Amino acid sequence: MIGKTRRVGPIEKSQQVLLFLSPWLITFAVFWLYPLIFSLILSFCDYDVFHPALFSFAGFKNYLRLFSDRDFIQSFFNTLIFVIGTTPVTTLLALTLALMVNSVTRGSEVFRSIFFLPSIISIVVTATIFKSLYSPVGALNSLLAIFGLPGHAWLVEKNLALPAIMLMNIWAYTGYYMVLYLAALKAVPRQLYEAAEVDGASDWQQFRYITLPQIHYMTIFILTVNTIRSWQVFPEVFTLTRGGPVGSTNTLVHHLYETAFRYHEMGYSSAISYVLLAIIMIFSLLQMYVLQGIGRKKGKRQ
Amino acid sequence: MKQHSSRQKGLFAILTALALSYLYPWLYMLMRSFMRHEPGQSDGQGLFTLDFYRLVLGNAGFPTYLFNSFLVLTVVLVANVVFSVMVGYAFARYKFPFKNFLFWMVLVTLMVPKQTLMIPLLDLMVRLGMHNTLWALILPFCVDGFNLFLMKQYIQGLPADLEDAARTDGAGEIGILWHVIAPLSRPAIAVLIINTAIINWNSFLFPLILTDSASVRTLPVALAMFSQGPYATDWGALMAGAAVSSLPIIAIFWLFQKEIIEGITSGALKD
Amino acid sequence: MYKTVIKSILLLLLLVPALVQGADVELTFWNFWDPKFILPVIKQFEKDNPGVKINNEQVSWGNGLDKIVVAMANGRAPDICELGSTWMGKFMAEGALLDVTDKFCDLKPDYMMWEPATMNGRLYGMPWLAGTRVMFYNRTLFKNAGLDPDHGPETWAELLEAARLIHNPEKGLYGFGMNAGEGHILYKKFMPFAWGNGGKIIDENDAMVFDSPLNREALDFYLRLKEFSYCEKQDLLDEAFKRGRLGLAISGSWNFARYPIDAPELDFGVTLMPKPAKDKGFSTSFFGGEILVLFKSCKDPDVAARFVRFLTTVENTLPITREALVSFPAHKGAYKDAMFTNDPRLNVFVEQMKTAVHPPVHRLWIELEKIINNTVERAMYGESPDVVFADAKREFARVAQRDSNGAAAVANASGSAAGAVVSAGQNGGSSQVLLLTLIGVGTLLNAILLLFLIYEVKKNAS
Repeated sequence: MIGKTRRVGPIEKSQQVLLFLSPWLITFAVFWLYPLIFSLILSFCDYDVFHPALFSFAGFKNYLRLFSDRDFIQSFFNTLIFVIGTTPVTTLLALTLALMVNSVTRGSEVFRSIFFLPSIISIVVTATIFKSLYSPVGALNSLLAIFGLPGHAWLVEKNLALPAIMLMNIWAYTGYYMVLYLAALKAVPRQLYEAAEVDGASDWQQFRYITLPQIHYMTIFILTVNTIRSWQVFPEVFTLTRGGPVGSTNTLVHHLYETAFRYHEMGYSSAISYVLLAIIMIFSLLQMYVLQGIGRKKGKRQ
Repeated sequence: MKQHSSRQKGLFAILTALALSYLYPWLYMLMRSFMRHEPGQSDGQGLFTLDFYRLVLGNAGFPTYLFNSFLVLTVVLVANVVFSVMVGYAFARYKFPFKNFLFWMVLVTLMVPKQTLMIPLLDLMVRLGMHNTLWALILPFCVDGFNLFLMKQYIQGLPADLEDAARTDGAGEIGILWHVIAPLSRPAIAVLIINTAIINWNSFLFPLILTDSASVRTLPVALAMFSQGPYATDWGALMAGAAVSSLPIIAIFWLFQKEIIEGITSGALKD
Repeated sequence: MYKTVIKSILLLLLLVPALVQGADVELTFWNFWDPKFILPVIKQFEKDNPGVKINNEQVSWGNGLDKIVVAMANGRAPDICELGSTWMGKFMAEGALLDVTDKFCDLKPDYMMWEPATMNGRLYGMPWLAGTRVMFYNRTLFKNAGLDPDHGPETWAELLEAARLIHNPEKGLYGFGMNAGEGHILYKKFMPFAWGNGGKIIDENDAMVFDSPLNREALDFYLRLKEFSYCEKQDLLDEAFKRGRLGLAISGSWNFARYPIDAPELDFGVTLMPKPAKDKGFSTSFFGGEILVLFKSCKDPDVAARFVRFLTTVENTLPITREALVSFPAHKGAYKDAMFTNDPRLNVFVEQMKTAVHPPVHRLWIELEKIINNTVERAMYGESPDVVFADAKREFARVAQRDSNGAAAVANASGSAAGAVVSAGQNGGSSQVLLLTLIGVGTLLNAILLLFLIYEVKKNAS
């Protein structure tokens, strides 16, 4: 990639790098470092908002408490289900939609816009709309009734509430990732397909050996971002169920939010937060490791 | 050829069905914002009214909130476009010490739950004297981790020959950035603009915590204030507010979606 | 060119906070109401008290508590603040509020709802607005079911019977609207049945008695009522009632502001909450409202108290009640107003308030609330009442244990500077904070570098 043509001297180059990086370095140092470190320290302390001047070092107490906190364990598994249930579906659906919208000849612009519409409204408003959509007399049940299927109180029944929120989440974000995929698809050089057609490659082969590797960087991006967002699911839960019924939709961020702002245990809440950060990091590392591995393999085969 | 057109028809039918399901909640929102219900009536029946829009638009502070939101959005958008291309380019094409560490820090800012940062960030803003000013809503968000990540991924996916060619012609690094990388990245920049617009325009948590006064309030915070009652949500007002406040984002999407689709095909990449 | 410069300077100026005007006393007041109710009162007060400036700042209902908590943690609590009465127990016990006994106690005969503002005989707030819930019933559905539309149910048995007769899910009609899927407000709906039956949550000796047979009886009844219920969230219940789908629902006066406009055809009545039986128990409901408090950091308690006294008068409170109908003035004089005397439906609320019960004013109320909600919700979702009541007792013991540990730590910390206790003042940290910071940064960096190293090694290996 970096050919012998790169003639920039080392000193000049490091100045350029520093210049290009500086917006990020400054923002990070000024606005992120302090809050990050502050909350990390908090997670090792007993900190009560009513007595902000007194906080005492608590060692790993907050972290150890996680193991005996049933709400934490429940919310961990709920969030895990949420992540595993939504991320792949959203990504696959987004890719499918992008491919379909890309190849349809009539009205592709209209479809693109319609699929994108849900991501424009804030998720709080979307959730409010779905609250009435999911009610026992709501539109979803009316639709099911047309097909002779029984209705449900989606957000009130214990086993349906989390899937209902997951469904809404998929609906709300697919269009957004579809647009990302569309941007990537458009960047695939057309000559590659032309050459493949000459070789007599089938549609599937073209997709498998040209499209997929060419948009691989976008897949990495979408999966990573989507996974991070899914682990942090909160406004949906807060608006629709506040973790209920009987804790079946309690997610990690909702749990740490309640701990901090309802029960005022900031230290413990920060501990949950850092455990979540660690989980997301490990997940992302694994994901990138696997995805980049796939990417390299594909590159070789090609 | 015939097979091809029947396939197109099938595609069109599937997409139409899907599009309807994606459109439904929107139609529902518009309907609720324009209609009152009578007892016994189901969704879709009711009296037409503009009261909810009058309530939202007639609010005394509405022009202020709108102006604040627009001001914050404009500054944040411009800053993000310029900075993300710069930083993304550095991450994508250069080797420098602590590169991976710094990039992981970008991801950490995305990974850490925002709720945890509320208290320290307010503390920081108070110390910096930015609390309760629009600065607090602008400066920390001028470089967004998501956008950096996007630009880095996108620029990495671009072929390097053009840059090398420019270098051979004696172009400086800044020249390459603006004359080669930026034009090639137009689709990604369009995505970045749309993404930043959505996130910033709907941003609620930080404006809520970092500002107090009505004079620096943004639209989402204001909407939450007059659609939420102590025990009930004012559906009509919430829906009317959501419909009104989504208009600018729809406009931005329409303006930039063509960039996403057309930018690259008309670019230099075909050569 | 210079035009652009001027334009950008103008833009920059707009970013500067509103210029502070010179005033001798400047106080900040946080509340949840539309400023159109509050600003005229402030204007009048500032006119009567030259040199005083009150900054009114509205907080949203959905996130008000977060904002107050965050501000408090940053030492930026407002001077005067509106607090929900059920939050008072915690705020008072933690010593966040200013003792205002000698500032307001002369007003005691004229106002109600002092209980949630009082702890250990001292007063920490001024009642402002109060509210309760009553039984709403649909007169049309009552008629259709052969019930007397002029009398709502007076006993548990009558309530159950009415719900049973109206309940017809095939036709989209439901007997009773029961809150579900939003555990955090269940106590407001369930406790009236328990209290009416003589049940309690905490007894005189601070022991938890929520698992008493009386409460068990109330829960059994509540679960029987569930069979004839439409289970949803409060706003959807109100919505369903508005559309004539619910026979009965426990709700608040805010519906009076919406039903006549949104659904003028809806024929409904309100009545007192039913009591357990004709000769047993009493009719009661949830009682709560808004209290005005001064935080300890209040810059001028005398002026603030004067403002609070001015704000809570009948003529300054009634406009809020009139428009939103959410809560009524805590001032007893308000009920002579034609608004109440001429409206029999509103009178039901006034009547209910006399017997309504405020949840215990307890330092652990927020935790207790969660325990009660969990208990009721788990029972609603089919768990055995025996199990859930036993769990409630156990959970409270655990919370109380943690609370006493925490209290000891706080006492210890304020008593001595020894040990690992760190005092980080608002105006900067001590050297120990710096040390902790370094340890923190080190841990973070190490953890990330480790992850990064693993990542690199694996990458090279593959």
